[in-house]
Amino acid sequence: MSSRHEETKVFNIQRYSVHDGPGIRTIVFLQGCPLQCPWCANPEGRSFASVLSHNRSLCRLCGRCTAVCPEQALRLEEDGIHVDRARCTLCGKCVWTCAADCYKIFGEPMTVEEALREVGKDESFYFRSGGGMTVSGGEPLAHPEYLTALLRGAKEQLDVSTAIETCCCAPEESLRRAAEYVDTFLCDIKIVDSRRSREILGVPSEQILHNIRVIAEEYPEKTLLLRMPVIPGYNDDPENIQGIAAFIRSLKREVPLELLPYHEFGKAKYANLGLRYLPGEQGVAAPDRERMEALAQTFRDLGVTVVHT
Amino acid sequence: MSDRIEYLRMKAASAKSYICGERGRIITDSYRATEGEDPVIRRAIALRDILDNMSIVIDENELIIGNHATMENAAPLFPEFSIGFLVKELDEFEKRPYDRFYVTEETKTLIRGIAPYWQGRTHEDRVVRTTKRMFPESLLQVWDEDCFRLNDVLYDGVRKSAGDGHIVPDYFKMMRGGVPGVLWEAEKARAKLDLRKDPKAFEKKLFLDAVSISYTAVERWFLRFAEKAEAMIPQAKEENKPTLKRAADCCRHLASGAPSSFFEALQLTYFLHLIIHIESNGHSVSLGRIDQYLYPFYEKDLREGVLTRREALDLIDCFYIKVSRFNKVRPWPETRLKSGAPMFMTITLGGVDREGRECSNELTGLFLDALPETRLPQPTPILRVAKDTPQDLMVRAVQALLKHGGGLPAFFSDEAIVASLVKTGVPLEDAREYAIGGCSEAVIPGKSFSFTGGDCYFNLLKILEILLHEGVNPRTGKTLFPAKKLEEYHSAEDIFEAFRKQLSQYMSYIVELTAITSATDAALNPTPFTSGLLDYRIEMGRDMSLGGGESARYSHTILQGHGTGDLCNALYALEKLVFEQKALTLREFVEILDRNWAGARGEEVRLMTHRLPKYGNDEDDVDAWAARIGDFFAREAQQYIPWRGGVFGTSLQGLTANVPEGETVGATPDGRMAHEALSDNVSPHAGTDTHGPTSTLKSVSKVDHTLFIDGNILNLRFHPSALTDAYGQFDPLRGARFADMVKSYLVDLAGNQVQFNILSAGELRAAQAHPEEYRDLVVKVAGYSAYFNSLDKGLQDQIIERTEHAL
Repeated sequence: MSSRHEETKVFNIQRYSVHDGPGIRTIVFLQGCPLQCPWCANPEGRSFASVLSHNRSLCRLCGRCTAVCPEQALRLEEDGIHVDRARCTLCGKCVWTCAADCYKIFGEPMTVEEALREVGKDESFYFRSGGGMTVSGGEPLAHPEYLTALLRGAKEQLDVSTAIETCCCAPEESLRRAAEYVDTFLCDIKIVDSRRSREILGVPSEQILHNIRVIAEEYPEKTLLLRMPVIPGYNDDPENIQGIAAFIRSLKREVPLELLPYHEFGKAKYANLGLRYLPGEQGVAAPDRERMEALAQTFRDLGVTVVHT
Repeated sequence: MSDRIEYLRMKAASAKSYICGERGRIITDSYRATEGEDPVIRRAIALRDILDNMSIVIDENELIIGNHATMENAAPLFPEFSIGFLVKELDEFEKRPYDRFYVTEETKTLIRGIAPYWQGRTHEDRVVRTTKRMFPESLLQVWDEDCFRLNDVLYDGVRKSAGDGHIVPDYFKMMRGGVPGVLWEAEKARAKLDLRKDPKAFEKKLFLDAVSISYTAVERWFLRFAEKAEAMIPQAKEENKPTLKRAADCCRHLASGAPSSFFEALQLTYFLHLIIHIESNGHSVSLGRIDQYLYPFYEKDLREGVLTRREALDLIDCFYIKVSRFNKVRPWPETRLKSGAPMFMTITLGGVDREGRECSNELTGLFLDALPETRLPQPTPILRVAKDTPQDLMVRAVQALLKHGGGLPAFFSDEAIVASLVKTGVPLEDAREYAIGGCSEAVIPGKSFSFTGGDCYFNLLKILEILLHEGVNPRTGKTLFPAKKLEEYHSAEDIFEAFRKQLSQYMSYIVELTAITSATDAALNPTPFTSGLLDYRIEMGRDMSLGGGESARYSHTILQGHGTGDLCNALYALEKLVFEQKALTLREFVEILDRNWAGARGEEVRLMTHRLPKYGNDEDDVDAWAARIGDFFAREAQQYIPWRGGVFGTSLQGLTANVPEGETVGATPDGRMAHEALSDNVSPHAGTDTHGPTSTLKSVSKVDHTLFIDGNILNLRFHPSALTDAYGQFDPLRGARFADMVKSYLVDLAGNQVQFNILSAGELRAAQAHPEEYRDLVVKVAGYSAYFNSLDKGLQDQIIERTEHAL
């Protein structure tokens, strides 16, 4: 059993979340993910290291941060602050100094107890709505010890429902350790073709699909929902759709699929982190309702149960 | 929704506000003719003269009829309450930045013409004279007569220029007997009087005669509407002929009996509501549990096949539109405290019955459905939320909230409110009958008055500012109550102790202050018509302005505490920075505040306060101060008894006073800049609650809401996407979770009230930039909603700055 004092980097705890599991939920976001989906809506949680974010839209160009930075990593130019990330040591002086709150460091070490204390605060809301805790990321399964301790704490200390939101890219052992304390699995299914998966997501698809099969077939008492982010040009081609449908049909129980339309909500975060946002550069547009409905129909025609999108 | 409703709705949204002189002219003539009469008879004759002589105005497209003044959206004159401000501001009304009124030359001449008669005779004159006579010199030197404000801390006398209001009539009784029922009741009570042996009988007879004069005039007035509607039929458009005929028949019937259909019951409800606003000009006259008292009519009509659900909804739409047309002209200083021209006309829906059973019905839903169809700022429907409120009704209310867009309905807690009423001595069964009056006051329909002496507002943050200046009000340089030297404080606890002492001293004046207004009402402005709408006044033979009697225990006089969120943050900042971290001395801190945080050291300290946890984020250490402030405020008020009996009811709501009140307060230790608006109501300071809506709700729930019968309003703003799917349509799943959140706060956490604006900051900014395109944009302000365009710029900014919760 892992120590209850173990720490992991948590980049956000979000209360009142209503679409990641039943009821009203608190989501604990763990830092770091093995995948590199170019459309990721939480790019601040991709790296396993903490990251500095600077929100230019809040910046009042006062330049105080440049004065306090001991590494001279910040420069004020006409178009705003420039961050030299190679120099930045994440000391946090700019975060404290900025009166406009432009800076934020994502990935603060947090013990299981600290995380549980936060989660416990919304107890009354879970009780009425049938909600609880969802662990997301990053990739929660990338932190098997911490994740298991956190889930177990939520079950045993708080007695609330638990869910994990995962890309399923993890050793099977990590999954099995956590599974005992999970009520609901929300598993992404993005690209089935392994070559294409490696190309776009940076990892092959075999382990991912295997893990989904393990959950579906060896944990029949657990709720499982597959979720496909629909990213035009990346994974909405007929081949991938047929591949996903075929995979779902091959599972030994009926597993519903939820289609999540691509959105640009994460776009600003890329700029704040000094990262390129490829879908934006490529002009990927959010699929409209007709497109999403047509896609849902296609899946249904292929024998897949599609739920509320 | 029909073209008829859309026509009436847009007519309401785009009408300009006028001041109408007609009532002023009639009552001046009436008062001249009744010099020296007993006040209660004089008031009855005045109402009779107004009803007999006022213009009858009907728009043939209306389904529900009745007019307050000669013109659409006009405010009638009440010179008996105040004439001074009308004369003084006569040329200013049109120049106001908001809540503007247009005055025709004819009306200006009329006002100038009647002013000399009223000089010295008005309610206001008497209130001011009495106040000056009763106040010691020490108070007068820190008293601002214009706003009736004591040392910038205690505001009173917003009731110097207006009547009482603040009741919920006994509509159940009126549905049973109608207007003739009250006349019969008065007749019966008169017959019991023994003028030879009972020394009180004479006064009782005067009152009962006044009731009879009033209600007989009302019967004639109904007939005038019938005649007018009938006269309009020949020229009316074909489709309007049957509805005019129906209206005329209804008016004739109501003049001689109780209502017999849903339509007649709704029309009677509107007429009664209207006459209360003709008899006197108090606001917060509320409509009570309308889904309960109208339900028997609705159910019968539906069963008999004479009414469809759609027809009922059309009638409710028209009813809302009619109620939205009330207008009232207030002096400018008072207008600033209540911007957006509110009348605080609340409609209570849902909740439990006398036995504690949840009693929502089909009408509850229809009154909610009418909200998105009409999208008006008033009336203000609220939903009582009980443990057993059905989930589908909750979701329907949330859907109405999204589609109305302007903060209606608001949600109130049966859990907290029934408990709070019981604590003040109201029997449990009666407490369960509560309806919301005005903004957020829990009143028992037909029994309570919730205003009595005029409300008193306490600027709690100002008290701290004065303490930090050793008793001196830095804005005026004057001292009312001396305070300690800064060096004598050794903890935040010491400062809180001093705060409590100061607040007690201010509070010790509330009985006198409110008694002045109450006693003036009793002497000058009895309201025999409105008294007849209460369930026991006729039996008592005593006008409601006199208070007293068996039901006095239901009554409360409102005391409001303003700036709780800021004061809480300020005490916490002092606790942490001065006494725990010892980052600076108290004196150094005050010097920084006096410079409004200017200079390098000032900015550094402001940053320190900025980094501290704030009220509204579910941080126990901070929130504890809010709980203690609320607790002390409420308990301190309990030791006093108002002039009319009952209790002082407390509230942490604040209308729009937080903007003008903020102007009198310099920088404060919570990080607030000088003159910035105070935190609104019981809400966190705008933009400082950053941990999601549930943490805000948790923070606010730490205040013991069962100590506040007059309500603690909490404003939250959500981006519409919190309730819609990816394509902007209402999402029932998100709606259900939202409903769960509301119910958890009100039922499980025993919060008092919560209300929402479901509007993005972007949309509000666009409305600010292009007001002409957003004429009908409604927002929730305090206990009421208002057209966004009709609000003070500072207040608009504050609504935009409220934290936007999204998903």
